[in-house]
Amino acid sequence: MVEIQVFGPFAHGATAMMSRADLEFYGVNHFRPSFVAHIFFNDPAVSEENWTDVRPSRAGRFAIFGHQNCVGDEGHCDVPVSSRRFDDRPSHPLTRAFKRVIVTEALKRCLADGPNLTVTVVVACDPGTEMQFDGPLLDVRGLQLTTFG
Amino acid sequence: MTGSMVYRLPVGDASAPHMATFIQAMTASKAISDNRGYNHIAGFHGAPDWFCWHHQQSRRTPLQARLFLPWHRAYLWWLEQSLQDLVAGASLPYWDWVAQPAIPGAFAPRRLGTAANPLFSTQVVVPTASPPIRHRTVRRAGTTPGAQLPLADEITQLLDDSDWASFSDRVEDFHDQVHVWVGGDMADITTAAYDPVFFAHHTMIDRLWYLWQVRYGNGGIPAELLDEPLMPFNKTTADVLDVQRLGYEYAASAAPIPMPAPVPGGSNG
Repeated sequence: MVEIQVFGPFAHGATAMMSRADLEFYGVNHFRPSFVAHIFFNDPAVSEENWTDVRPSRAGRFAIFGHQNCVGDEGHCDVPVSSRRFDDRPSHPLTRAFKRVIVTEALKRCLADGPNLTVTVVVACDPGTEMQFDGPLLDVRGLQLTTFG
Repeated sequence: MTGSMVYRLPVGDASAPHMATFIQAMTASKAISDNRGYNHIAGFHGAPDWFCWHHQQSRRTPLQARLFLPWHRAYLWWLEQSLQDLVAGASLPYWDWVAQPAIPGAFAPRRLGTAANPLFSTQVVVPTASPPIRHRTVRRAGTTPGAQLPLADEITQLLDDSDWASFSDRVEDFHDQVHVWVGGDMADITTAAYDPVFFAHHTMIDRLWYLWQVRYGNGGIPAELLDEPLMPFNKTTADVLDVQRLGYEYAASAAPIPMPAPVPGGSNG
């Protein structure tokens, strides 16, 4: 299974003075088959047929080591939204993940394109995986591009 | 030697001395069905116990609780100690997937000579799961489109990253990428630890943390994380910072040197 998600265009706010740029993914759902995500910048032509790791627009990749299926009783894979005052047990194993991808060189290449950036994420999992989830493979609550001086 | 520290060495041929010892210990551990055995310990990670630490938060600290590295170090230590209960000197080998970008040879064959290879797969039995889990672990190496093993320059850059949080996030992602690349049970948190290659992979991850510590020490780890308990291992983060206190170190090779034959009635000094 391969899916493509596009984010932007948005004003990236980066300058040539940056020493490092991180693309941050907040709240990644890992109640999913394990998958890899390859990231491309400013490349509207990237598709399920032509994404490769040598494509010039490629900015980086990340992976999710997922929980493929629920193997508990009803409610086992529901993440509680609140906690009691005296409950300091670790949070639920399906607490959404944070991922960062260092994209410094790729972003520097895009500075000449102008102030905006479009992020395309190509997501793939093992085609032999049994699918037992609703929604996209990459289910993320927020993205942020952060640069450091 | 009983009670001595051990060196964790790269995965080698099954006939290499450290591998032969490891295979002997794994064979013995897999034959034990109670809480001393491999299957029970494999169950700490995913089903049925779910102790593993990846993205959880701790209500004991407002910080992002990056306990991925400490928790898995404690986990490896626990398995290694249990193997040493069975065979003196057993240590966990590491799979350096940069130098050896394939399933390691000792883990690949179904049999070693006439005996079943304990590193090939494991019969997973979790009767309390819903539905109950009962299957033999499989791998599907390289079948996920776009899955890659980490590259040498990526690991070089990783080890140049002196920031604890950034290093921890990045090494965990390389870890994730290897799980996806191996595929099959290794790509599912629920049963990954039942595949013996899980521990060779995690020993490599632990080695990278060790190499990072050699460079940068532990100063960057937030103090609030040091008292975090690592269940169920009776350890805290602070307890696992020094690998020597856990009874091991990492080395690239170790060749036993034959001792000279004793001279009757004499000395060699």
